[in-house]
Amino acid sequence: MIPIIGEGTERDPYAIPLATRDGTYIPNVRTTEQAPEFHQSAAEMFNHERGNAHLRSSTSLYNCVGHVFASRRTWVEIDHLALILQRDGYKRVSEQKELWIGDVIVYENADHEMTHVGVVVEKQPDVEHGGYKIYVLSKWGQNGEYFHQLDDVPPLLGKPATFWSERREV
Amino acid sequence: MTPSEAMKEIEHLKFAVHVGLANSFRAFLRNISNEHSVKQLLASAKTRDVAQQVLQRVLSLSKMGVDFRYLNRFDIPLATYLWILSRAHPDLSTAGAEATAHLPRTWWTEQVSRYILEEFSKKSDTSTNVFISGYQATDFQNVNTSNVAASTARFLPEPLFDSVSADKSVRVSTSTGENYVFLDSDLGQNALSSFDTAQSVFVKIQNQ
Repeated sequence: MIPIIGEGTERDPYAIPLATRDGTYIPNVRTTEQAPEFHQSAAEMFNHERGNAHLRSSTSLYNCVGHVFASRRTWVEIDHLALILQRDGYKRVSEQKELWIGDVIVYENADHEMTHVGVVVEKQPDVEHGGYKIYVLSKWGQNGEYFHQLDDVPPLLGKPATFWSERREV
Repeated sequence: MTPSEAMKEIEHLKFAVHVGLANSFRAFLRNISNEHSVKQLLASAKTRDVAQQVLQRVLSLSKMGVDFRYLNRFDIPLATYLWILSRAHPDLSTAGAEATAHLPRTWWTEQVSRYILEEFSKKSDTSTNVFISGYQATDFQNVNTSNVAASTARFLPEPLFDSVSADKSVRVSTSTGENYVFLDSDLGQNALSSFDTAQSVFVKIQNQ
């Protein structure tokens, strides 16, 4: 086995130039698309299991981090997310009610590992329960990109844990 | 759940969709390790017979045709089988990984294969013993056995070693315990008789 030296780095032809605001390179890999039958099966499965989530796009060319931080162009391992948030100047949003369109939701598993990330696209008053309903656009691993309520994701993607924003106040 | 049933489930698209909910290699491994069918097959694969069935399945799937427009249909099953072998019988996982490491259009399989082979190379020292039936046993330093399993048409599981006529086969034992047998017929008619050193056997095998 010949080790692939520098896979995902700037010298990897399967990676694209991608950097944080301060110029730190973000390792990434462009993957091959899953077959149509895979996406068909995924669409049916999640339509059944997550009926309130709406499929926006079926592709495996990028993942959740690639969706939010690389304009859907490439796959970025979730392990790089903490670095991206830090180098891009994101700050923690302490409460859900303070979230606004464009803010970022980080999901974690029971071991407090980052498992998923999505972007807030809609915020509606929740008259019945008080507070707000937060709607998120996020990419589910190799499966599709979904529009869904904040916590309406498959269990393997974890639960909403922290909220982040790079908004600048005037 | 029998091993066959577990393998059928692992090769189903639903399995791929489910464990494909991973945003990193680590998450992928965590996902497959928590699947019921994987736990069942891993338990069964503690016995060498079942592990060899799994390895045979890896070798069969790795020879199937690929639609180059898309990821390999068996990318996730192959990665899962390799992971199971790595946990149950690391020696067999190495053989499987060598057969899959360079398969086109794989994603998870490539990463699991590389992980296994890197682990293997870390454990392996530089000495590889090469034994050729009917020829003088020779020690070589830095002999590269990579892709030996992948480049031969027929890989035989260890229990079948003795069923092969010694003068019609090449046997390779690595210092970490992997054993390979290559049939004379895989190397071409009377090919073995033309070899005078173990080194040339490797050259011939890798040039097949």
